[in-house]
Amino acid sequence: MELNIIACVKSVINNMLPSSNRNTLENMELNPFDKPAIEMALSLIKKHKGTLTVLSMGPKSATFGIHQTIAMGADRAVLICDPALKESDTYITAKVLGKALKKLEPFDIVLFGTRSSDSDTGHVGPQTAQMLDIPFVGNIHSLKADQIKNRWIVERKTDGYLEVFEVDAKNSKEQKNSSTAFSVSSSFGDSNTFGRTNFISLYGVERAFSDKNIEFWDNQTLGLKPEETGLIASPTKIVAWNKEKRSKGCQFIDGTYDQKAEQLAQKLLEAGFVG
Amino acid sequence: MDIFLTEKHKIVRHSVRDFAQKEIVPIAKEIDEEQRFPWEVVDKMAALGYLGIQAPKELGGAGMDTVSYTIIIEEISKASASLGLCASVHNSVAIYPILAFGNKSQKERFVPDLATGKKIGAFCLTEPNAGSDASAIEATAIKYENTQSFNNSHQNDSNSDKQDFDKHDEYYIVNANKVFVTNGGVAETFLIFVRTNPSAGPKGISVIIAEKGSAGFIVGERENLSGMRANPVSSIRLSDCKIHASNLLAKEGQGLKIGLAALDTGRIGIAAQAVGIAQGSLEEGIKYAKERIQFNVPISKHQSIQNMIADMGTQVESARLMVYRAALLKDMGKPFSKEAAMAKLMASETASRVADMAVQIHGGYGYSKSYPVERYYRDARITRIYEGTSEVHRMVIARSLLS
Repeated sequence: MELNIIACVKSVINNMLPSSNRNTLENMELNPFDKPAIEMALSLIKKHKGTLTVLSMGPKSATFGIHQTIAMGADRAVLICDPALKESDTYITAKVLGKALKKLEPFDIVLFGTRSSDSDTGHVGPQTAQMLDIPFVGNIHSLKADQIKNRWIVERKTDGYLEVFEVDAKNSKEQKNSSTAFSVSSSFGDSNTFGRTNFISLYGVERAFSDKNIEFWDNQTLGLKPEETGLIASPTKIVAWNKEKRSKGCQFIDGTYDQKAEQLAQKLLEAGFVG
Repeated sequence: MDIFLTEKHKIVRHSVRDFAQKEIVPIAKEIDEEQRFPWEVVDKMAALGYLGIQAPKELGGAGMDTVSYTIIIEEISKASASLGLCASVHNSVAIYPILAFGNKSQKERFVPDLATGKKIGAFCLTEPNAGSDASAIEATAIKYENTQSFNNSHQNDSNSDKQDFDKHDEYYIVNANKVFVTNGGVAETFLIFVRTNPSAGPKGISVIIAEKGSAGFIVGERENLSGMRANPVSSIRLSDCKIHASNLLAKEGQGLKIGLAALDTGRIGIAAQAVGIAQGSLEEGIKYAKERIQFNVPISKHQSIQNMIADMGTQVESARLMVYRAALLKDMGKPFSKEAAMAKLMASETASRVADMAVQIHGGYGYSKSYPVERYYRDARITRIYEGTSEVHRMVIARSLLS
């Protein structure tokens, strides 16, 4: 069972300096919440064989994050890059990704991160699944193939419970394979070692820059008109974007050491940090 | 700062920094204090390609350029200069001379194990009586034919020579006493500078590749150094050690040429290492200056501290630019000897000054092992001494400018 997996990723801004442009190669990197999706895809391919295609929408400088995914082991990468896409909201992003995924059919699964570290909406995964009219399970940490019954067995944790889902991998009416979308939790793998085990090797970086090229697609490739994308077409618009002011407060606890410890424990408990 | 760097270089930096932060920084203090070589981390470095940075892909290396090499050494050294030293020496003065001067069979025999980190490499030039004056080495390698005339006193050793000595083969009997061998305690492949013709002066010096385990090959005591304490810098002795003539690098008498070429490349690595130490010192200095309150304000508000931070930052950037220039020239195939010497001089002097200022910013705490600047301060000092002292570098630079 060879798997054709697509991972939708985003290059995010990791460190914005007041004087710099918003997006440059200096300050972009792969969204850390997308890393588990790539890692899950690679582990599935290791087990079942197949290919991983990385799909992203973003500016030219987004190549940084895409090259990182190739260095991690992706086989193919597509970056949808068009000036007319600028300031698209999550709905338009999902629409564009949906068009691109149609073009990349057939695929077995499409994986997303749970959210992005810069805009933090978590919309794009489920909305894209909706555009394609395929099932979606969010925040999964385990995905296994039940090859006999032709279904996926996925697990997710929610509010102290472990949920197990079955998702059909075959459309029984049309008797053909159907696609499913998932978003992958940061707890994929061993959460204690997450991020520690899968470093990008120099061999991977070489591979990303010698053997594999990023394919650039634009609105025309996807049959989209400029007015169908970008800020102009987006149903939601950002009207204000201000840096949050953070204030630190310091509280002193009086009493003997025992009383102080008691009070501190009580305060931590009330704040939900312990217990 | 990064105007010369390609996207690929930036991804290299991002990846190595990620590794160094998560795997090296947490153990840097402990391996320094315990004088421990962290094999568990070095094995990971090997798997990521850090021990074969510029070796060709077909020989197991990553096949990267010199600029990437400087970035990697800088980032590792910023976390632990001892490990940066291990990687720098291994890549630049152990692997590089075999790639540049070795024949096809030597490259195939030695490079894949080194480039993939199965074996660690070392470079043995310095002797008790030969430091800056490398041509004063006393180690000898006398060529013999494998006849009855030489009575091999080690032939019954359980750990005797791995190679088959054919009746008509030629071999060398090597006697050497080498000191301050970086990686000495863990290396398995050693480049040994010897006199093959004791009467020929500097032209009688050659390089022989020796392997640990050969009869008569002795790893001596580990040096108890001020800095670089996680690196097992040791003495190495070869006593009537029989080494096959096929282990001679290039030709007899080319030792000094090989040494100078290796050190030209090595200097770029040591300069990058010094930039890493300096950058680490700068970052720690800034962090502490913002945290430490004196006279009711963070000390970063005091102009005297600001002046120090400004000088530190400016000097680190200057040194880094010079290292990049030397590396770029090498990648372009242009002469880089003078530029590498200047970069090494500048970067090592900068590391010492910047680490010193970082200690000053920390005050009494900077003199304690509680903060990393104390380690940077000790580690920085040696960069002005090894792979050519600052004085030798000034000599090399002056000679070039005055010629």
